[in-house]
Amino acid sequence: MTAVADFSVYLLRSLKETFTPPYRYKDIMSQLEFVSWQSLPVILFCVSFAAIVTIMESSFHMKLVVQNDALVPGFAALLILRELGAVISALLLTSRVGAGLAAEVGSMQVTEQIDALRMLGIDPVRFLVVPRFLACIAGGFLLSLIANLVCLYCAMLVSELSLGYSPGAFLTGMRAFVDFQDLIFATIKGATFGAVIPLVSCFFGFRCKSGAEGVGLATTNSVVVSSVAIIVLDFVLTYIFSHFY
Amino acid sequence: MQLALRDVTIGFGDGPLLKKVNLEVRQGESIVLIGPSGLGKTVVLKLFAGLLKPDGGQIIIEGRDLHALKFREQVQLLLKMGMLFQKNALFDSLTVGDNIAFPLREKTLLTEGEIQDKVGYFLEAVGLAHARTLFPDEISGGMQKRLGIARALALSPQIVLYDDPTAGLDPITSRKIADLILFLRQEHKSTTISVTNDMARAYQLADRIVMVVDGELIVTGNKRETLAHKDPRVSQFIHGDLTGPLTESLT
Repeated sequence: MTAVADFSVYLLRSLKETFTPPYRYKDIMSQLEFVSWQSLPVILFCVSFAAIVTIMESSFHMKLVVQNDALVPGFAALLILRELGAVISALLLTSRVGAGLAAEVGSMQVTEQIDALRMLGIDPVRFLVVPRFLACIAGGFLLSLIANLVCLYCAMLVSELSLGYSPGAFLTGMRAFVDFQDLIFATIKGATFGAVIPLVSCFFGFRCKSGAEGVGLATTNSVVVSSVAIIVLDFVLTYIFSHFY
Repeated sequence: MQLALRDVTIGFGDGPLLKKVNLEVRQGESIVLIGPSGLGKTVVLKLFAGLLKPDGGQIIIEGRDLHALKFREQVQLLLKMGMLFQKNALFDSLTVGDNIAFPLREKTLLTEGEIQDKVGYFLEAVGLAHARTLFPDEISGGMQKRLGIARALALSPQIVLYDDPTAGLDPITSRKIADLILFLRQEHKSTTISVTNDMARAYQLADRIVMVVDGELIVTGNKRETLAHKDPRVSQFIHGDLTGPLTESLT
Protein backbone atom coordinates (compact mmCIF):
# COMPACT_ATOMS: atom_id res chain seq x y z
CA MET A 1 0.00 0.00 0.00
CA THR A 2 2.88 2.35 0.81
CA ALA A 3 4.33 1.73 -2.65
CA VAL A 4 0.98 2.56 -4.28
CA ALA A 5 0.69 5.77 -2.24
CA ASP A 6 4.29 6.70 -3.08
CA PHE A 7 3.68 5.99 -6.76
CA SER A 8 0.54 8.17 -6.75
CA VAL A 9 2.46 11.11 -5.26
CA TYR A 10 5.34 10.55 -7.69
CA LEU A 11 2.92 10.30 -10.64
CA LEU A 12 1.23 13.59 -9.76
CA ARG A 13 4.61 15.30 -9.34
CA SER A 14 5.82 13.94 -12.67
CA LEU A 15 2.69 15.14 -14.46
CA LYS A 16 2.92 18.55 -12.82
CA GLU A 17 6.56 18.92 -13.87
CA THR A 18 5.72 17.69 -17.38
CA PHE A 19 3.33 20.56 -17.87
CA THR A 20 5.73 23.13 -16.41
CA PRO A 21 8.14 24.71 -18.90
CA PRO A 22 10.98 25.22 -19.69
CA TYR A 23 11.87 21.87 -21.23
CA ARG A 24 15.28 20.29 -21.76
CA TYR A 25 14.89 19.88 -25.53
CA LYS A 26 18.39 18.47 -26.02
CA ASP A 27 17.76 15.74 -23.44
CA ILE A 28 14.33 14.98 -24.91
CA MET A 29 15.80 14.59 -28.41
CA SER A 30 18.65 12.36 -27.25
CA GLN A 31 16.18 10.20 -25.30
CA LEU A 32 13.87 10.08 -28.32
CA GLU A 33 16.76 8.86 -30.44
CA PHE A 34 17.50 6.16 -27.83
CA VAL A 35 13.85 5.16 -27.43
CA SER A 36 12.72 5.16 -31.05
CA TRP A 37 15.61 5.01 -33.52
CA GLN A 38 17.69 2.53 -31.54
CA SER A 39 14.65 0.35 -30.75
CA LEU A 40 13.35 0.32 -34.30
CA PRO A 41 15.38 -2.65 -35.69
CA VAL A 42 14.41 -5.10 -32.95
CA ILE A 43 10.76 -4.00 -33.02
CA LEU A 44 10.49 -4.27 -36.80
CA PHE A 45 12.18 -7.67 -36.75
CA CYS A 46 9.76 -9.00 -34.14
CA VAL A 47 6.55 -7.54 -35.58
CA SER A 48 7.49 -8.92 -39.00
CA PHE A 49 7.60 -12.42 -37.58
CA ALA A 50 4.39 -11.75 -35.64
CA ALA A 51 2.75 -10.87 -39.00
CA ILE A 52 3.97 -14.09 -40.61
CA VAL A 53 2.68 -16.20 -37.72
CA THR A 54 -0.66 -14.36 -37.73
CA ILE A 55 -1.23 -15.03 -41.43
CA MET A 56 -0.10 -18.66 -41.30
CA GLU A 57 -2.12 -19.51 -38.20
CA SER A 58 -5.26 -17.69 -39.37
CA SER A 59 -5.12 -19.42 -42.72
CA PHE A 60 -4.53 -22.85 -41.19
CA HIS A 61 -7.44 -22.60 -38.75
CA MET A 62 -9.88 -21.00 -41.19
CA LYS A 63 -9.22 -23.71 -43.71
CA LEU A 64 -9.73 -26.29 -40.97
CA VAL A 65 -13.02 -24.84 -39.72
CA VAL A 66 -14.70 -23.20 -42.72
CA GLN A 67 -12.61 -24.73 -45.54
CA ASN A 68 -11.88 -21.23 -46.84
CA ASP A 69 -9.26 -18.60 -45.94
CA ALA A 70 -10.76 -15.66 -47.84
CA LEU A 71 -11.21 -13.69 -44.64
CA VAL A 72 -7.55 -14.04 -43.61
CA PRO A 73 -6.41 -10.55 -44.81
CA GLY A 74 -9.22 -8.86 -42.90
CA PHE A 75 -8.78 -10.83 -39.70
CA ALA A 76 -5.02 -10.46 -39.79
CA ALA A 77 -5.24 -6.70 -40.31
CA LEU A 78 -7.79 -6.44 -37.51
CA LEU A 79 -5.58 -8.38 -35.13
CA ILE A 80 -2.47 -6.45 -36.11
CA LEU A 81 -3.96 -2.95 -35.89
CA ARG A 82 -6.04 -3.47 -32.79
CA GLU A 83 -3.59 -5.53 -30.72
CA LEU A 84 -0.34 -6.91 -32.06
CA GLY A 85 1.38 -3.82 -33.47
CA ALA A 86 1.01 -1.63 -30.39
CA VAL A 87 1.30 -4.31 -27.71
CA ILE A 88 4.32 -6.15 -29.12
CA SER A 89 6.12 -2.83 -29.68
CA ALA A 90 5.34 -1.70 -26.13
CA LEU A 91 6.46 -4.96 -24.53
CA LEU A 92 9.71 -4.89 -26.51
CA LEU A 93 10.18 -1.26 -25.53
CA THR A 94 9.66 -2.23 -21.89
CA SER A 95 12.36 -4.87 -22.00
CA ARG A 96 14.79 -2.65 -23.85
CA VAL A 97 14.13 0.90 -22.66
CA GLY A 98 12.34 0.26 -19.35
CA ALA A 99 15.01 -2.11 -18.06
CA GLY A 100 17.72 0.33 -19.12
CA LEU A 101 16.04 3.27 -17.40
CA ALA A 102 15.49 1.39 -14.15
CA ALA A 103 19.13 0.25 -14.12
CA GLU A 104 20.39 3.76 -14.98
CA VAL A 105 18.32 5.58 -12.36
CA GLY A 106 18.87 2.76 -9.85
CA SER A 107 22.64 2.91 -10.15
CA MET A 108 22.46 6.72 -9.89
CA GLN A 109 20.48 6.23 -6.67
CA VAL A 110 22.93 3.78 -5.08
CA THR A 111 25.99 5.82 -6.07
CA GLU A 112 24.39 8.96 -4.55
CA GLN A 113 24.21 10.76 -7.91
CA ILE A 114 20.54 11.52 -7.23
CA ASP A 115 21.52 13.11 -3.90
CA ALA A 116 24.22 15.06 -5.75
CA LEU A 117 21.54 16.43 -8.11
CA ARG A 118 19.41 17.47 -5.13
CA MET A 119 22.42 19.19 -3.55
CA LEU A 120 22.78 21.20 -6.75
CA GLY A 121 19.16 22.31 -6.44
CA ILE A 122 18.11 20.11 -9.37
CA ASP A 123 14.84 18.23 -9.03
CA PRO A 124 15.58 14.61 -10.08
CA VAL A 125 12.01 14.13 -11.34
CA ARG A 126 12.26 17.18 -13.55
CA PHE A 127 15.80 16.35 -14.68
CA LEU A 128 15.48 12.60 -15.23
CA VAL A 129 11.81 11.65 -15.57
CA VAL A 130 10.29 14.47 -17.63
CA PRO A 131 12.60 14.22 -20.70
CA ARG A 132 12.26 10.41 -20.72
CA PHE A 133 8.49 10.61 -20.24
CA LEU A 134 8.02 12.99 -23.17
CA ALA A 135 10.47 11.05 -25.35
CA CYS A 136 8.73 7.74 -24.62
CA ILE A 137 5.28 9.18 -25.43
CA ALA A 138 6.55 10.44 -28.79
CA GLY A 139 8.61 7.27 -29.32
CA GLY A 140 5.68 5.00 -28.45
CA PHE A 141 3.49 6.89 -30.92
CA LEU A 142 6.04 6.73 -33.75
CA LEU A 143 7.06 3.12 -33.12
CA SER A 144 3.46 1.97 -32.97
CA LEU A 145 2.71 3.73 -36.27
CA ILE A 146 5.76 2.29 -38.04
CA ALA A 147 5.39 -1.17 -36.48
CA ASN A 148 1.74 -1.42 -37.57
CA LEU A 149 2.52 -0.36 -41.12
CA VAL A 150 5.48 -2.74 -41.41
CA CYS A 151 3.47 -5.53 -39.82
CA LEU A 152 0.65 -5.03 -42.35
CA TYR A 153 3.16 -4.94 -45.20
CA CYS A 154 4.70 -8.23 -44.05
CA ALA A 155 1.26 -9.76 -43.70
CA MET A 156 0.48 -8.68 -47.25
CA LEU A 157 3.77 -10.10 -48.51
CA VAL A 158 3.24 -13.46 -46.81
CA SER A 159 -0.33 -13.58 -48.04
CA GLU A 160 0.92 -13.18 -51.58
CA LEU A 161 3.82 -15.60 -51.31
CA SER A 162 2.20 -18.41 -49.35
CA LEU A 163 -1.57 -17.98 -49.82
CA GLY A 164 -1.63 -16.48 -53.30
CA TYR A 165 -3.53 -13.27 -52.49
CA SER A 166 -2.45 -10.33 -54.65
CA PRO A 167 -1.70 -7.04 -52.84
CA GLY A 168 -4.92 -5.65 -54.27
CA ALA A 169 -6.96 -8.58 -52.95
CA PHE A 170 -5.28 -8.29 -49.56
CA LEU A 171 -6.05 -4.54 -49.33
CA THR A 172 -9.65 -5.06 -50.42
CA GLY A 173 -10.09 -7.81 -47.81
CA MET A 174 -8.43 -5.62 -45.23
CA ARG A 175 -10.62 -2.58 -45.95
CA ALA A 176 -13.73 -4.64 -45.17
CA PHE A 177 -12.55 -5.05 -41.57
CA VAL A 178 -10.43 -2.03 -40.65
CA ASP A 179 -10.12 1.63 -41.54
CA PHE A 180 -7.92 4.63 -40.79
CA GLN A 181 -9.48 5.05 -37.36
CA ASP A 182 -7.90 1.73 -36.26
CA LEU A 183 -4.45 3.08 -37.08
CA ILE A 184 -5.19 6.24 -35.05
CA PHE A 185 -6.30 4.14 -32.07
CA ALA A 186 -3.18 1.96 -32.42
CA THR A 187 -0.92 5.01 -32.21
CA ILE A 188 -2.86 6.34 -29.20
CA LYS A 189 -2.26 2.97 -27.54
CA GLY A 190 1.42 3.18 -28.46
CA ALA A 191 1.78 6.65 -26.93
CA THR A 192 -0.06 5.58 -23.75
CA PHE A 193 2.05 2.46 -23.33
CA GLY A 194 5.13 4.57 -23.99
CA ALA A 195 4.13 6.92 -21.15
CA VAL A 196 3.88 4.03 -18.69
CA ILE A 197 7.40 2.72 -19.27
CA PRO A 198 9.55 5.64 -18.00
CA LEU A 199 7.16 6.44 -15.15
CA VAL A 200 7.30 2.90 -13.76
CA SER A 201 11.00 2.36 -14.53
CA CYS A 202 12.20 5.60 -12.94
CA PHE A 203 9.96 4.98 -9.92
CA PHE A 204 11.65 1.64 -9.26
CA GLY A 205 15.03 3.23 -9.98
CA PHE A 206 14.44 5.91 -7.32
CA ARG A 207 13.44 3.23 -4.78
CA CYS A 208 16.46 1.07 -5.60
CA LYS A 209 18.22 -0.51 -2.60
CA SER A 210 22.01 -0.48 -2.56
CA GLY A 211 24.15 -3.14 -4.22
CA ALA A 212 24.08 -5.05 -7.48
CA GLU A 213 21.14 -7.10 -6.18
CA GLY A 214 19.16 -3.93 -5.53
CA VAL A 215 19.70 -2.64 -9.07
CA GLY A 216 18.80 -6.08 -10.47
CA LEU A 217 15.61 -6.20 -8.42
CA ALA A 218 14.62 -2.66 -9.46
CA THR A 219 15.14 -3.62 -13.11
CA THR A 220 13.13 -6.85 -12.81
CA ASN A 221 10.30 -5.15 -10.94
CA SER A 222 10.13 -2.32 -13.44
CA VAL A 223 9.86 -4.71 -16.41
CA VAL A 224 7.24 -6.89 -14.70
CA VAL A 225 5.09 -3.99 -13.47
CA SER A 226 5.37 -2.11 -16.79
CA SER A 227 4.36 -5.24 -18.74
CA VAL A 228 1.38 -5.91 -16.48
CA ALA A 229 0.36 -2.23 -16.65
CA ILE A 230 0.53 -2.33 -20.46
CA ILE A 231 -1.66 -5.45 -20.64
CA VAL A 232 -4.23 -3.92 -18.24
CA LEU A 233 -4.17 -0.57 -20.07
CA ASP A 234 -4.61 -2.41 -23.35
CA PHE A 235 -7.83 -3.89 -21.98
CA VAL A 236 -9.03 -0.48 -20.74
CA LEU A 237 -8.24 1.30 -24.02
CA THR A 238 -9.72 -1.50 -26.13
CA TYR A 239 -12.92 -1.24 -24.08
CA ILE A 240 -13.03 2.55 -24.53
CA PHE A 241 -12.27 2.38 -28.27
CA SER A 242 -14.94 -0.31 -28.77
CA HIS A 243 -17.54 2.44 -28.24
CA PHE A 244 -16.28 4.23 -31.35
CA TYR A 245 -16.49 1.35 -33.83
CA MET B 1 26.45 30.83 14.24
CA GLN B 2 26.04 29.66 10.64
CA LEU B 3 24.71 26.13 11.07
CA ALA B 4 22.91 24.41 13.92
CA LEU B 5 21.04 21.29 14.90
CA ARG B 6 18.42 22.02 17.55
CA ASP B 7 16.92 19.09 19.47
CA VAL B 8 17.17 16.94 16.35
CA THR B 9 15.85 13.40 16.49
CA ILE B 10 15.98 10.96 13.59
CA GLY B 11 15.67 7.20 13.26
CA PHE B 12 15.27 4.53 10.59
CA GLY B 13 13.02 1.89 12.09
CA ASP B 14 15.02 0.50 15.02
CA GLY B 15 14.54 3.43 17.39
CA PRO B 16 16.17 6.84 17.07
CA LEU B 17 19.70 7.04 15.68
CA LEU B 18 20.11 10.58 16.99
CA LYS B 19 18.20 11.66 20.10
CA LYS B 20 17.50 15.39 20.59
CA VAL B 21 21.01 16.37 19.58
CA ASN B 22 22.31 19.93 19.44
CA LEU B 23 25.29 21.34 17.58
CA GLU B 24 26.31 24.85 16.60
CA VAL B 25 28.86 25.61 13.89
CA ARG B 26 30.34 29.11 13.58
CA GLN B 27 31.11 30.84 10.30
CA GLY B 28 34.52 29.78 8.96
CA GLU B 29 34.84 26.96 11.48
CA SER B 30 35.99 23.44 10.61
CA ILE B 31 34.16 20.67 12.42
CA VAL B 32 35.16 17.01 12.10
CA LEU B 33 32.70 14.27 12.99
CA ILE B 34 34.17 11.02 14.26
CA GLY B 35 32.60 7.90 15.72
CA PRO B 36 31.90 4.20 15.18
CA SER B 37 30.46 3.21 11.80
CA GLY B 38 26.71 3.22 11.35
CA LEU B 39 25.94 5.50 14.29
CA GLY B 40 24.98 8.62 12.36
CA LYS B 41 27.95 10.68 11.14
CA THR B 42 26.77 10.72 7.52
CA VAL B 43 23.21 11.26 8.77
CA VAL B 44 24.34 14.52 10.45
CA LEU B 45 25.85 15.69 7.13
CA LYS B 46 22.74 14.72 5.19
CA LEU B 47 20.54 16.56 7.71
CA PHE B 48 22.54 19.74 7.11
CA ALA B 49 22.40 19.12 3.35
CA GLY B 50 18.60 18.83 3.43
CA LEU B 51 18.79 15.29 2.05
CA LEU B 52 17.14 13.88 5.19
CA LYS B 53 14.30 15.36 7.19
CA PRO B 54 14.48 14.99 10.97
CA ASP B 55 11.66 13.28 12.88
CA GLY B 56 11.86 16.15 15.36
CA GLY B 57 13.83 19.36 15.95
CA GLN B 58 15.19 22.00 13.61
CA ILE B 59 18.01 22.32 11.09
CA ILE B 60 19.15 25.94 11.16
CA ILE B 61 21.13 27.38 8.28
CA GLU B 62 22.08 31.04 8.48
CA GLY B 63 19.44 31.59 11.12
CA ARG B 64 16.60 30.02 9.13
CA ASP B 65 14.79 26.76 9.87
CA LEU B 66 15.46 24.75 6.70
CA HIS B 67 12.27 22.68 6.77
CA ALA B 68 10.02 25.63 7.56
CA LEU B 69 10.99 27.26 4.27
CA LYS B 70 9.23 26.95 0.92
CA PHE B 71 10.88 24.62 -1.62
CA ARG B 72 12.38 27.48 -3.68
CA GLU B 73 13.82 29.15 -0.57
CA GLN B 74 15.25 25.81 0.55
CA VAL B 75 16.94 25.39 -2.84
CA GLN B 76 18.42 28.90 -2.63
CA LEU B 77 19.78 28.17 0.84
CA LEU B 78 21.15 24.75 -0.11
CA LEU B 79 22.96 26.25 -3.12
CA LYS B 80 25.22 27.89 -0.55
CA MET B 81 26.44 24.39 0.28
CA GLY B 82 28.64 21.93 -1.53
CA MET B 83 29.08 18.30 -0.63
CA LEU B 84 31.63 15.61 -1.29
CA PHE B 85 29.77 12.32 -1.05
CA GLN B 86 31.14 9.13 0.50
CA LYS B 87 31.06 7.38 -2.90
CA ASN B 88 31.94 10.64 -4.68
CA ALA B 89 28.60 10.61 -6.61
CA LEU B 90 30.32 11.67 -9.81
CA PHE B 91 28.15 11.74 -12.91
CA ASP B 92 29.62 8.78 -14.76
CA SER B 93 28.20 9.77 -18.14
CA LEU B 94 30.07 13.11 -18.01
CA THR B 95 33.79 13.74 -18.41
CA VAL B 96 35.93 15.08 -15.57
CA GLY B 97 35.63 18.60 -16.98
CA ASP B 98 31.90 18.32 -17.55
CA ASN B 99 31.34 17.08 -13.98
CA ILE B 100 32.63 20.45 -12.77
CA ALA B 101 30.91 22.37 -15.57
CA PHE B 102 27.53 20.72 -14.86
CA PRO B 103 26.53 22.79 -11.79
CA LEU B 104 27.85 25.94 -13.48
CA ARG B 105 25.74 25.27 -16.58
CA GLU B 106 22.67 24.44 -14.52
CA LYS B 107 22.81 27.10 -11.85
CA THR B 108 24.66 30.14 -13.22
CA LEU B 109 24.27 32.50 -16.15
CA LEU B 110 27.94 32.24 -17.11
CA THR B 111 28.85 31.92 -20.78
CA GLU B 112 30.42 28.66 -21.97
CA GLY B 113 33.79 30.41 -22.19
CA GLU B 114 33.56 31.61 -18.58
CA ILE B 115 32.46 28.13 -17.49
CA GLN B 116 35.47 26.55 -19.20
CA ASP B 117 37.76 29.09 -17.49
CA LYS B 118 36.28 28.18 -14.09
CA VAL B 119 36.58 24.46 -14.87
CA GLY B 120 40.24 25.04 -15.75
CA TYR B 121 40.83 26.90 -12.47
CA PHE B 122 39.29 24.13 -10.34
CA LEU B 123 41.07 21.36 -12.27
CA GLU B 124 44.38 23.17 -11.67
CA ALA B 125 43.52 23.63 -7.98
CA VAL B 126 42.91 19.90 -7.45
CA GLY B 127 45.69 18.77 -9.81
CA LEU B 128 43.48 17.20 -12.47
CA ALA B 129 44.14 19.49 -15.43
CA HIS B 130 45.58 16.57 -17.41
CA ALA B 131 42.42 14.45 -16.90
CA ARG B 132 39.88 16.96 -18.20
CA THR B 133 38.54 14.77 -21.03
CA LEU B 134 38.62 11.45 -19.17
CA PHE B 135 35.56 9.83 -17.63
CA PRO B 136 35.32 9.23 -13.85
CA ASP B 137 35.81 5.47 -14.19
CA GLU B 138 39.08 6.10 -16.06
CA ILE B 139 40.76 7.85 -13.13
CA SER B 140 42.03 6.55 -9.75
CA GLY B 141 40.14 6.65 -6.44
CA GLY B 142 42.25 9.57 -5.18
CA MET B 143 41.62 11.51 -8.38
CA GLN B 144 37.89 10.80 -8.08
CA LYS B 145 37.94 12.26 -4.56
CA ARG B 146 39.71 15.36 -5.83
CA LEU B 147 37.19 15.66 -8.66
CA GLY B 148 34.35 15.32 -6.15
CA ILE B 149 35.88 18.13 -4.11
CA ALA B 150 36.26 20.32 -7.20
CA ARG B 151 32.62 19.76 -8.17
CA ALA B 152 31.47 20.47 -4.60
CA LEU B 153 33.29 23.81 -4.77
CA ALA B 154 32.22 24.74 -8.31
CA LEU B 155 29.45 27.08 -7.18
CA SER B 156 31.77 28.68 -4.57
CA PRO B 157 29.68 27.49 -1.60
CA GLN B 158 30.05 29.12 1.80
CA ILE B 159 29.58 25.76 3.53
CA VAL B 160 31.27 22.54 2.39
CA LEU B 161 30.39 19.08 3.68
CA TYR B 162 32.96 16.30 3.22
CA ASP B 163 31.76 12.75 3.78
CA ASP B 164 34.81 10.58 4.46
CA PRO B 165 37.13 12.41 2.06
CA THR B 166 40.07 10.08 2.70
CA ALA B 167 38.24 6.73 2.83
CA GLY B 168 40.07 3.96 1.03
CA LEU B 169 43.08 6.11 0.15
CA ASP B 170 46.73 5.44 0.97
CA PRO B 171 48.28 7.64 3.73
CA ILE B 172 50.13 9.91 1.28
CA THR B 173 47.06 10.52 -0.89
CA SER B 174 44.99 11.03 2.29
CA ARG B 175 47.44 13.69 3.41
CA LYS B 176 47.29 15.38 0.01
CA ILE B 177 43.47 15.42 0.11
CA ALA B 178 43.47 16.88 3.63
CA ASP B 179 46.01 19.53 2.57
CA LEU B 180 43.80 20.32 -0.41
CA ILE B 181 40.73 20.71 1.82
CA LEU B 182 42.63 23.07 4.13
CA PHE B 183 44.00 25.07 1.19
CA LEU B 184 40.57 25.42 -0.42
CA ARG B 185 39.02 26.34 2.92
CA GLN B 186 41.49 29.20 3.31
CA GLU B 187 41.10 30.22 -0.33
CA HIS B 188 37.28 30.30 -0.24
CA LYS B 189 36.91 31.19 3.47
CA SER B 190 34.29 28.47 3.81
CA THR B 191 32.81 26.69 6.79
CA THR B 192 33.49 22.94 6.62
CA ILE B 193 32.05 19.86 8.27
CA SER B 194 33.93 16.65 7.57
CA VAL B 195 33.37 13.04 8.49
CA THR B 196 36.39 10.86 9.00
CA ASN B 197 37.65 8.09 11.23
CA ASP B 198 41.25 8.73 10.26
CA MET B 199 42.35 10.45 13.49
CA ALA B 200 45.52 11.96 11.98
CA ARG B 201 43.40 13.69 9.33
CA ALA B 202 40.75 14.61 11.92
CA TYR B 203 43.38 16.42 14.02
CA GLN B 204 44.78 18.07 10.89
CA LEU B 205 41.41 19.36 9.66
CA ALA B 206 39.47 20.17 12.82
CA ASP B 207 38.97 23.33 14.82
CA ARG B 208 36.62 21.19 16.88
CA ILE B 209 36.02 17.44 16.88
CA VAL B 210 32.56 16.04 17.54
CA MET B 211 32.00 12.38 18.31
CA VAL B 212 28.73 10.77 17.20
CA VAL B 213 27.89 7.84 19.49
CA ASP B 214 24.87 6.31 21.25
CA GLY B 215 22.54 8.85 19.66
CA GLU B 216 24.52 11.76 21.14
CA LEU B 217 26.94 14.35 19.81
CA ILE B 218 29.92 14.76 22.14
CA VAL B 219 31.88 17.93 21.38
CA THR B 220 35.42 16.95 22.32
CA GLY B 221 37.20 20.14 21.23
CA ASN B 222 40.51 20.52 19.42
CA LYS B 223 43.28 17.91 19.21
CA ARG B 224 44.68 18.59 22.71
CA GLU B 225 41.22 18.67 24.32
CA THR B 226 40.13 15.53 22.49
CA LEU B 227 43.22 13.60 23.58
CA ALA B 228 42.57 14.66 27.18
CA HIS B 229 38.80 14.03 27.05
CA LYS B 230 37.38 12.30 30.12
CA ASP B 231 34.57 10.32 28.42
CA PRO B 232 35.78 6.68 28.22
CA ARG B 233 34.01 6.23 24.85
CA VAL B 234 36.03 9.06 23.32
CA SER B 235 39.23 7.75 24.83
CA GLN B 236 38.59 4.20 23.58
CA PHE B 237 37.69 5.39 20.09
CA ILE B 238 40.64 7.70 19.48
CA HIS B 239 43.12 5.14 20.82
CA GLY B 240 41.44 2.23 19.04
CA ASP B 241 41.23 0.10 22.19
CA LEU B 242 39.50 -3.26 21.75
CA THR B 243 37.95 -3.24 25.22
CA GLY B 244 35.79 -0.51 26.71
CA PRO B 245 32.27 0.91 26.72
CA LEU B 246 32.08 1.17 22.92
CA THR B 247 32.78 -2.54 22.45
CA GLU B 248 30.04 -3.37 24.94
CA SER B 249 27.47 -1.02 23.40
CA LEU B 250 28.25 -2.14 19.82
CA THR B 251 27.95 -5.83 20.69
